[in-house]
Amino acid sequence: MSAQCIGGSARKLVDERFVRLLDGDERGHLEAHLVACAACSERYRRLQLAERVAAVGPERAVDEPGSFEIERIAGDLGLLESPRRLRIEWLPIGGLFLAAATAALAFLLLPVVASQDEGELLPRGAPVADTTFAVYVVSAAGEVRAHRAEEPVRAGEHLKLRVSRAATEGTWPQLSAIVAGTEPRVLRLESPRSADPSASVPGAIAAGALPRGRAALYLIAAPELPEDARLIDAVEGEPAAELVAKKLEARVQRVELVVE
Amino acid sequence: MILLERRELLDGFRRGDRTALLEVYRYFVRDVARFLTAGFSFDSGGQRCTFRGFRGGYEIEAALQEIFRRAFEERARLSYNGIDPYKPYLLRIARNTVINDLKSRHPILFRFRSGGAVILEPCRETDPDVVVSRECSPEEVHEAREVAALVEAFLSALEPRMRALFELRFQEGLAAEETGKRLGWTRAQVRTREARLRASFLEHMQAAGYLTRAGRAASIALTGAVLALLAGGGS
Repeated sequence: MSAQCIGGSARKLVDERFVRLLDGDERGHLEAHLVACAACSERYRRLQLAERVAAVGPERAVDEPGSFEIERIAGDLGLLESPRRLRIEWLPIGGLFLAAATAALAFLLLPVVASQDEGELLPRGAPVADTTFAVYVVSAAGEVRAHRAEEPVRAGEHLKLRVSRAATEGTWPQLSAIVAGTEPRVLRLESPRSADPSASVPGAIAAGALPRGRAALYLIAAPELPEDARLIDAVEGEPAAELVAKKLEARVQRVELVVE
Repeated sequence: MILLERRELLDGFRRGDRTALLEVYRYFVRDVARFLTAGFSFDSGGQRCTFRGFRGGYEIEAALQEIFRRAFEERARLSYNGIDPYKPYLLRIARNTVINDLKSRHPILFRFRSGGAVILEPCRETDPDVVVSRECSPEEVHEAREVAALVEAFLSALEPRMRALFELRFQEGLAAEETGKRLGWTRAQVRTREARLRASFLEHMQAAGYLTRAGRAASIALTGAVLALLAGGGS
């Protein structure tokens, strides 16, 4: 269980999924987290079961989705109206915030309202710019296992990545891995050449290239990646993936590693 | 049978009209969900195999989304002949999507399942038309009933109009507008109160300890997922 799970942003996203329609970015983050986190996956299962029991009763809940679940998936597919994002920004007027001595308003609020585009039918992992990674550990003997945060990566092993994107995208984004820590490193990755929406990232990351002990590995996908210095700067302090994503305007997944 | 009975819906479906797609999705989604949960048998690499169905949780939602996404792609829409029933056509898409993902060395749908790569077990059935039904385990039945008791406790504490909202939206699946008409609320009021209701429901399940206690669910998921890799698979 990562720090994101303990009352953190990831768990909040799990819960939010059952309260409102998430937008594409949020779904991408949620999906990426659920791949790696058994605790949040279990929480998701229980919430879904509770919702189903409430909707269709205990006898039918195992194999029948409730109305909210059906609506949720319709939203994932882009069949519903996109959730509108209301952004309210505080703007200075002529460099000053207007203040009223006696009025209820202490400043003037100018709402900036933005709505998401109603896109085409959205593939899983939407929006179109969405990219997700799956991480595998390959032993010296060639055995492959899915990476799990609590299982160490040993000397002689290496990490293989598989990347998935929206099927409607024509080209792969640029990819990079950043090893955070006291000596951060940027590993520029080659984009796949396959036309399939899911493909292996060429090359591998050797355990020897990773610092011993605990490390955070950030997997980045963006139409164009900035220079190394900016990438390293973005992961200083090992922030949550969402913060790095915002700084870099990229798709970011954080992977917890233990390297022996 | 709706696509056979309603020409304008079929035309809209073929054009990719969102309204038509949504109606078709809503009509068939439960059938596809049951199919995916029940599992099915198929031939692979000269062996008869059984896929025992998706478990609950995100994986079933991701699978439903992926299957309908593929079914609603232009090529798939236009390949449907509009003469034969749509349900078998749709279930074939579902079946092929699952089989391809099962055989993939790096599955997409099944990566949400803990315990590593999804694998299959040899089929003990000899009849190729037999679909193995997924029977609920005693623990699953017990858990569902336990949850039902928690749900009833939540409902019994609601004031009448909120309980009515819950029943109309959660259970009957009425649209927000229709719900509003019955309760004398605007659509926006329904949405706002519904969001509060959902959040309260979540808090109730959290406070009851159901969401955070250690339980059998994780072990069932792992046990069910660990079976043998088929030879000849992979993509």
